[in-house]
Amino acid sequence: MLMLVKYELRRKLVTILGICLTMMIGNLFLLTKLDSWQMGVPILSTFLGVGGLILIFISSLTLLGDYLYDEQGYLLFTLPQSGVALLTSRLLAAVMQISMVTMVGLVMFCVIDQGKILNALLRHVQGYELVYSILLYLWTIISVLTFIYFCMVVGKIALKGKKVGKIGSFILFFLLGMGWKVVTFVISNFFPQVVQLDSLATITINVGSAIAESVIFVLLFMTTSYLLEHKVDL
Amino acid sequence: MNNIVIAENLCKSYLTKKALQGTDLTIKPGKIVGLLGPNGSGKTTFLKIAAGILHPSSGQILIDGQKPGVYTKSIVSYLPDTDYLFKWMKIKDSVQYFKDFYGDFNEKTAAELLDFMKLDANSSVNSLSKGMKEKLKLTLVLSRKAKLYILDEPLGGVDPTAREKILDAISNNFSENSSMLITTHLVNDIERIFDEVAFISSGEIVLQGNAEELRRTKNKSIDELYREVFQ
Repeated sequence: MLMLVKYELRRKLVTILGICLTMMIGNLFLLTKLDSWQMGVPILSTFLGVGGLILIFISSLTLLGDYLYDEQGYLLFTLPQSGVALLTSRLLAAVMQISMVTMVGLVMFCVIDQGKILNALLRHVQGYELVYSILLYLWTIISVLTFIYFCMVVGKIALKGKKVGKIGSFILFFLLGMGWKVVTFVISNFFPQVVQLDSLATITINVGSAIAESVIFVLLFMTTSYLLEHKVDL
Repeated sequence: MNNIVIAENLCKSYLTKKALQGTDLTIKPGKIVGLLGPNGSGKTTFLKIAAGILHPSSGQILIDGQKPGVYTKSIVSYLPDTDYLFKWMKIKDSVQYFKDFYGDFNEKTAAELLDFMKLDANSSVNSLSKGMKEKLKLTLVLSRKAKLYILDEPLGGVDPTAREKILDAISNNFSENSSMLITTHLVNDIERIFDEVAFISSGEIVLQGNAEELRRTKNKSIDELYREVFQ
């Protein structure tokens, strides 16, 4: 499975480097404008970071989409790899490439900001909050991508055509996304128990909806893995 | 020995089209079988099902006694009729890719075949001509010690000289412990290597048998027989 991750990162190397270099060059340019543009500089740096993240997120969707609809699918789906390995490798590659861009964005923002926000965070943020933030960051990427990959695979299986399949996947994503939100909302009303973490800001976690989201994630992951291994037609 | 491929009443339907309509085909170990038919007859559909990248609507196919899946993909070496290698790869990267994923890949055979095909390991896949890409794909596929080789149009878009080279490579690297299923339109060029042939039309096998016996009983070459069946 790690081999699959290696080849995915190699395949996306130009995209990752392109985004990182653009963010670096953009931020270095902004650094030269610190005196004249003042508050505009950190705002533009944030835009650069968000733009980079959007691009690398779209690139993460193609980690699976390219194989479902392009000829390279013949390379991936003829490998003696299980559906779980195929899906996990896509998720790991996505987490790695998104993390690389995130790191570059944060480092460049710290340079622009001259470390003010970073120092403030280091002074006030507790260790457990840092761990929670990292786990939340990983959970967000993995759960959202698993959900999107599920919609892509179902769209591909149900609607064979490239254009129809992609549109179908988007509609499915929209409908299931709403369904997911409704389910977690209803569950959080039935089970209002929460866990609160108090620090710079209060973090509230509804226990019921957290469990429901975890169960939905496991179901989506297993279903997508099964479909990738047993149902996808090229 | 058990048959390496057993397809029984295999059907595959698309929205408005039936690609396979109850196809029955058996392949014995050590045989090179030609699956011959015109465009749209269901050849590629059958091959894709055997390779595990297409799923039948009904019927059953067993490869080495198992339904297509992770195990069968580890013993099937499939040459699709598409440009499926990554564009960023050099030839040596594609060899490494196969080595990384297939336990039966033989690097020494790959080096010999690259040499035989006159392919430079440092060339970019993207820069290769159609014929050279075909040779590279064949090199990768034949460098595996697979139980079943599935070759979809291995001579497609290749000039006559290269065709001979490719056929020689297939013959030289074929072992008695393996089987091979080949589709082609260029029957005349390739019929010399067939042990058995199956003619497929509209998703059904219409004629099947030992190549030599068919030549003798019908007093025709396989190419002539093909033209007679599909005229």
